[in-house]
Amino acid sequence: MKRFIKTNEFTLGIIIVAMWLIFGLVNPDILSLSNLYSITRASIISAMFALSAMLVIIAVGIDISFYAVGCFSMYVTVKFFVSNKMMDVPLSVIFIGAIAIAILLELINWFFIDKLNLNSFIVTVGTQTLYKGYLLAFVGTAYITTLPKAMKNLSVSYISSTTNSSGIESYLHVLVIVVIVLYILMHLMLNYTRFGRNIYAIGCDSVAAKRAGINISKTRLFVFIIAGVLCGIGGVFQATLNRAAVPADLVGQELMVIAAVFLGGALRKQARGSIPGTALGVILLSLISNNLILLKITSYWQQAVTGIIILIGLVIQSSKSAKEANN
Amino acid sequence: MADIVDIRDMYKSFFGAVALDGMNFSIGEGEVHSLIGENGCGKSTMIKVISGFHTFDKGHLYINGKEYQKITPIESMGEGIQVIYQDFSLFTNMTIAENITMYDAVNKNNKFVNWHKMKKEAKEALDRIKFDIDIDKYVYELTVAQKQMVAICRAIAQDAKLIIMDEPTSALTSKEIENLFKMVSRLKSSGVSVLFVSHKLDEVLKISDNITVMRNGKNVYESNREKLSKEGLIYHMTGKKINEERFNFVKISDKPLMRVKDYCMRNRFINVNFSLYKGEILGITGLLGCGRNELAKSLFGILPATSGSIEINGKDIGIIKNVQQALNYDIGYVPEDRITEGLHMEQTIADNSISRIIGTLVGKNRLLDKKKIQKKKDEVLSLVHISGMRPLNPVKSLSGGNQQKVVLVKWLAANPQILILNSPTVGVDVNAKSEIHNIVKNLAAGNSIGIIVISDDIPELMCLCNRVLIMKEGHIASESIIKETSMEELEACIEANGKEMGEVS
Repeated sequence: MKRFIKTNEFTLGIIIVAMWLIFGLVNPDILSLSNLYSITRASIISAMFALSAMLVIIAVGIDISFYAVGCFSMYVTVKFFVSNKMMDVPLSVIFIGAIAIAILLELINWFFIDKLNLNSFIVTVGTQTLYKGYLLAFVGTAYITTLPKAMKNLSVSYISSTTNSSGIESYLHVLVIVVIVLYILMHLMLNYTRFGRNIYAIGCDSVAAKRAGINISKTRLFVFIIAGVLCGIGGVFQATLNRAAVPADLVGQELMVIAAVFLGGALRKQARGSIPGTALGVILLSLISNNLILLKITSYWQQAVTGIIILIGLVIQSSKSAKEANN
Repeated sequence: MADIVDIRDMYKSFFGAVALDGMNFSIGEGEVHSLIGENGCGKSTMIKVISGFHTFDKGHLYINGKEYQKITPIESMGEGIQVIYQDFSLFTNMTIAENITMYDAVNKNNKFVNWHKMKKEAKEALDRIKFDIDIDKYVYELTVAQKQMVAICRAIAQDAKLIIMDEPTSALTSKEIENLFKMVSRLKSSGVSVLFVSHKLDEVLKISDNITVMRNGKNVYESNREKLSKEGLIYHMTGKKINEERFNFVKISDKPLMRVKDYCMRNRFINVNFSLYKGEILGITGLLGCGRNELAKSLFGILPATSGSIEINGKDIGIIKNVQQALNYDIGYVPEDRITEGLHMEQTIADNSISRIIGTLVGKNRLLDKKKIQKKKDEVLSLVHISGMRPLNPVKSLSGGNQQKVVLVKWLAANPQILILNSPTVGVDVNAKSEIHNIVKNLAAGNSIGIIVISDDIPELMCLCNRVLIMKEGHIASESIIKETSMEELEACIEANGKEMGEVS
């Protein structure tokens, strides 16, 4: 119990609850179910990509190419089916297509980071720019607003709905369930499989991991494949929720996702990124950005406030780990 | 007694450089064996052959009676050989329990993790060597000594028959070293052999059943410890009798260069009074925790004293409050840990040599003057002979002893009046040690600077200093003039002061 109170997840949970209550005092609408639904919806995309980013951050280091990978795979897939007039293509085929492309792109990352032993941050700055540039230059720049039917149907699949005081209906989107299931699966994988523990080991100290007999290159390979799967799914989710395939989407906003992962505890020094931590980090950041809108704070201020909260969160974490290290 | 490892006539070279040149070595069951030798004598190559990270060119390797032409790391571990590296190879982001069972789990290639079973196994390993700690703690929370214990537990958990420890005491305090030695004898009594690779001859003599001395890639001497003295070991390691002359102090002036008056630091040292004369080498010693370290740091302003005053050349300057002030009075400080405090390891030797005075090497436009810098580099590096040195190589390419010489050069370049050396030869091999001593003696005699040496190495103090202050519980307990005292007397004096301290605390 004592150990639990000391965890980063506990601190984050307290911050989230406190913030929700404070915001709620100012504007009671924030406490409503409909606001909860809209925050959940707004979190879906960053939650998906945060999962991919966290995995790579634990295993090798900072990755900022995930949005580029997601958009590239989504746009190429959708464009292929739409321009070939295959509007009846089943959802599973769309996902498989996007995932396959995303895996391919992540394998390029893997090659540079693992085989050529380059810094992951620098590699992914390069590949991010490359993927985005290639997409816009060779695949297309047009928005695709008529999506395949299966995606259209998915975009309006809700679990439940509610009406708020001003009579606007809000829905709880079905994709939330997918995200939750993926988070649970990932949590089980990281904590209860040999492979998951090896990911933490190679991220902590690759020399020591080698001495322990872990195949570093192979472990990293699977990490990037899983990251690709998550990015592919995330890309299709983005187009679905957006109801359009936008080639220049998302890229450039990676830092918010990375900040969420860091808030969740994946400080490189100890490489202790955890699934609950990442989930809470994502929730905290979408809570802030959504509720500041309800509090009628201008969007420039929102960014500044978000920045301040990220810094406070990191300071709390690092002072905590410094204290632990001194004891 | 059966031999666990037996090496016969082994040869190994790397790209033409001979590392092992007819090495013979064996270690039996339950034996504590030490392997000593100067840097580059082939110790680490031999360990890497045993642990499977290097192959060998010629010779015989028998492990548990079975001959291996070559052995892989996995096979070596399978034979019960475990190496504890200086960095321990632990995963700081995992708990103690997971670290202890990690190797085994990876080896068995279980697909899933059973946390309950893991904790049980870890607990068993801890119990076997009677090490008491919360196994749910993360490794990053541990001290160096605790990490080492965890690494030993991990070896035990895999049924190690031979544990190889590479320089295990270099980062431990004397109390922790004692604990480690207790652990080693516990391992021994449970039938586990320990191979100790070390620089520290006192420890080697204290702990080992047998000692193998290596030089130039082969064993030159083997003996059990009763038959060997420290001097004997040094002789076998270097192949020559190192006979250092004692330092001969000639008083130049009756006026002290530096006078320390009633210097105090809360809870650290109290009413320290002494004078330092030009051309003198003053030793300060005492057991660990007597305040010598803090005193050294306070004289250089790293940890400022809380009261008292210092006179330099007759001028009262009060307390030295910070490093900048110490530098202004031309005080130099060679820290105990040259790797983190003394040198920029990644930078070149030449750049390090002028790093202290780089601010003065400017042209008329106040920008750095390349020609001046180059001239100064050549000048200062010619002051001290550093063998095998290439000025444009990074400092980390040098051995410990040569690195320490670079630290000295760095200070020589700045022409200090007073130089404080904190444990100047820790982790330095015997040959380089006497070279460093000669440099220091020449500095004192030739440049007439006052030198303070903080050390617990009694032979070092005997040949380096003309006067030694012995500290006890934060004050100066006695003073010995080296000319009028013998090594045994000095030793007894430090011991006596230490024992009293033991009774008090």
